Amino acid sequence: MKKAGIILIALALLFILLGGWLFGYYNSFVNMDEGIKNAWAQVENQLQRRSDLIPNLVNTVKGYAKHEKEIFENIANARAKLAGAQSIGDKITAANEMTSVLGRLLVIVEQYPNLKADQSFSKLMDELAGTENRIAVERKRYNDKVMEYNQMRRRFPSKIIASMFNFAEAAYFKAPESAKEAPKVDFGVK
Amino acid sequence: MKILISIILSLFLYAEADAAKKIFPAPTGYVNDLAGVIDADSKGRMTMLAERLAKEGKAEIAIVTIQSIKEFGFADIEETAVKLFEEWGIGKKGKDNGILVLASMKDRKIKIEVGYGLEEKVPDGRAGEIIRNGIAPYFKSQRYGEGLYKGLLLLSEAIEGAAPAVKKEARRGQGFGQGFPIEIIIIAFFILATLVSMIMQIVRGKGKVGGRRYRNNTFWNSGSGGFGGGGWSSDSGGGFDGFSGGSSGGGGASGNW
Repeated sequence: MKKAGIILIALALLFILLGGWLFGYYNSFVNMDEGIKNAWAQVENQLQRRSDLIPNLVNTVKGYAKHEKEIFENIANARAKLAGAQSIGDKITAANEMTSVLGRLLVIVEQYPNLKADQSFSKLMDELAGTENRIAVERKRYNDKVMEYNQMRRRFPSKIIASMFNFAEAAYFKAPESAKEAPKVDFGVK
Repeated sequence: MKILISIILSLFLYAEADAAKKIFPAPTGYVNDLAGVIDADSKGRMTMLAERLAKEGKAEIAIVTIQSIKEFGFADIEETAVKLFEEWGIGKKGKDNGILVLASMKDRKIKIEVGYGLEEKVPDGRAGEIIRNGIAPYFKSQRYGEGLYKGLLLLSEAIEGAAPAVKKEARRGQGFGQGFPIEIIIIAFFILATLVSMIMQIVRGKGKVGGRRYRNNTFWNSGSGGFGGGGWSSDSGGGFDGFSGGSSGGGGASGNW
């Protein structure tokens, strides 16, 4: 009888530990998922910040370079696209497009020494550079969180819990190829 | 029995090695002249000003010079500054009132990295102005110490002169999970299992919910600030008590000379 009691206690302990293990992984997933959402919210804040900067920037540039109509149009389009994007994937695409359009604007700006000497323009450029940098930082933090989460999703034994409770794979925010290097002047005819 | 339990426990409680390698040397004060370009007079004045700002709880400002960003394995000064800020945890935790002024001598680049909490008082445009009009002119004539002092002075004016910063958007709460989708078991079981899971989470260090903070503090990890007063408390008149876990997100500006 005594033996049976011990076995019963052992089984109960095992059961509890198993439950704890399950709870632990489940909660870790929930926490990580929340962490990703949070990190994404930070990314969006910075994307919004950049969008908010654009009217001012465009107006200043227009004062010196009125005839560069094409780029202003492209910027407006990219901004509208970002504002209209719903899913995270769409937002990433739109944000990358915006980055490359702004890169082109910076190249154009190089041709206007008067504009570059403008104090308020310098400040705007600081804001833009700072915001680009913030986006890069928050993007990296977001991607790190996504990586941690996706790794755990695929690792054993957490994998079981992930598939049991449908923790879906999270999307990375991949930077556009063009953003990794400084914009280059394009002399090609287009 | 005991062995069985300990085996099971060790299976659950395995700790993943935290690969938080340190890249930079620990801070020795508010002024860290790793490149050796700051004169003693400027260093003293900067230290005094930084100490006062820290003591009054207005800002924790770190002035750092390095030989080159390559020496630490980075590609640009922005990345270097973010990493250094993160590693030292400049600023008060929660207030995030840290600022890092980083100058890389060989690259001829300066970066002012502003903590989250001071972004309103020191917007990027202001930071850029401080570099362009405050620091760079001195650097052009190799007066590095004076240039950095001028920069610090302008920063302190920005911090102390401006209206109190508006609290930034509220941090997202942790929330409660969406309930556990299995049948209700015994309460005791629930409590015990939760306890076990809590222990497990603590040990595995996975209990973190990401706020802005990049690294989390657990019981035995004093966090990114990681430079507690300890041995320094002997000179209670002021001095450097280490940075206290603030964070930044790439705000500020950079420039060259």
